[in-house]
Amino acid sequence: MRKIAIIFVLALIILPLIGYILILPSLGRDTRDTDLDAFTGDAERGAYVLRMGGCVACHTDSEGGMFLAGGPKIETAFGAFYSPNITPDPEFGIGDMSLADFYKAMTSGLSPEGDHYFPAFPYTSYAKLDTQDIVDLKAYLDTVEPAETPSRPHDLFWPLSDRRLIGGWKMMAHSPVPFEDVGEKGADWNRGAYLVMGPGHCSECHTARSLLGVKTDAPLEGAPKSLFSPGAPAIAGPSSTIAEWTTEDITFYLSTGLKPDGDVSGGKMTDVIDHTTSHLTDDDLNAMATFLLDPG
Amino acid sequence: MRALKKNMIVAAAAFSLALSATVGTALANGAHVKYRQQVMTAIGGHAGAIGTIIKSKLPMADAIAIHADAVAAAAAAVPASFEEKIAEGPTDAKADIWGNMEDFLALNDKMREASLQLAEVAKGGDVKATRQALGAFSKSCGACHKAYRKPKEESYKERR
Repeated sequence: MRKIAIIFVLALIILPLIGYILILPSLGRDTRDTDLDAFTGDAERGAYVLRMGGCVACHTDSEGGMFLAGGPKIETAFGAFYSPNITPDPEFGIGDMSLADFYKAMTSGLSPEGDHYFPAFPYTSYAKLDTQDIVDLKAYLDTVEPAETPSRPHDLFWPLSDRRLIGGWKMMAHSPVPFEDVGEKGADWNRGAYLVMGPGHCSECHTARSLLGVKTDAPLEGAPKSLFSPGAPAIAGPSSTIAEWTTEDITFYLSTGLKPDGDVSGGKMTDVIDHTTSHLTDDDLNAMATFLLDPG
Repeated sequence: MRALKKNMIVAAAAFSLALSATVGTALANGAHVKYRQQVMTAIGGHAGAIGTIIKSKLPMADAIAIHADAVAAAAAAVPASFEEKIAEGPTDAKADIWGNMEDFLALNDKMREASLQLAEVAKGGDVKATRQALGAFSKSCGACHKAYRKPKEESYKERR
């Protein structure tokens, strides 16, 4: 009897250890099989992709930091994140990253060394990006002024600070499949869907998550305040807060920050408008509005 | 016995005095909150009117400067409307306002300057520039709301 108990206890310790050491490291490593040599980057287009992706809001400290040299503290239930320096400085930035490394980071959430990135870097959305957009973005980032600003390490609570665990999470939450046009919808709608669900990464905040932090199957239908989110209103579905808005209302809001009733929000969306959507073309904002009013 | 009765009368009088003072304060607080909300609603009303003119291309471009100047005039009423510290009850004002009054007033000044700038640009008649100036004005509203207004999820207007 005692023997059985000992075996049981040992199994309780050993099996998870085996899982942690042998199985976990292989999880969440799906990559896209793309021949990057077939693509040429266009830095000018890449400057626009940077805005589409909302990179600036998190990677630039608007209070005195250099452009893209690392962002301010992002407080979460898991601790504090500091988004890194993504200028091309070879020591402090990402100047040493090859295009293949950068592509892997954006689509697979893996560092050049093969470590998982924390999903505060929204690669579950960026994985939907067109290869051309990623290649252009890299070409642009290579032209940014290098900043000798050291990236600050994240300050997270154990055990969530263990990057290995993210591999298990990615099994449920991530797939590196690019966005595909929906045949029966028009070009505008598809462009909008791409911008919203891909680079714009709107669903990171506006889609509710499960207890394990995986986005639920109710995209953009609002997220309550939780461990994973400060909460964001529904912008699709039955309780959409913008259901009564017109296409013009949405594009006007995304470019100026002014709601139809004359109010201006003070939430995270002010940064999104300031650094992202107000820099997009009218055509793109119009496309996003077209999708948002009929996301079906 | 008589002394006890007298004491009771005094106590009752004191209680009703205290009660009416409390009710009085609550009513006064309510009026203060209502007033400052009306000032903000007035500003939002003019901002919304500017938005409608631009996005719906109404033939009232001349009115944009009128509304922007009205916002600037209303901004001058904001400091007095927030003199009383009231952060409880049906209000979305954060108590932080009264711990950082200088910053709060500076943000209000920036909003006022942005509305004057918007009026200037609008008088020039360049639609694109006007839209940009409106964006800058909105940003000045958002900067203060971000710091000193309760987020939507915590608003007293949200039913719990």
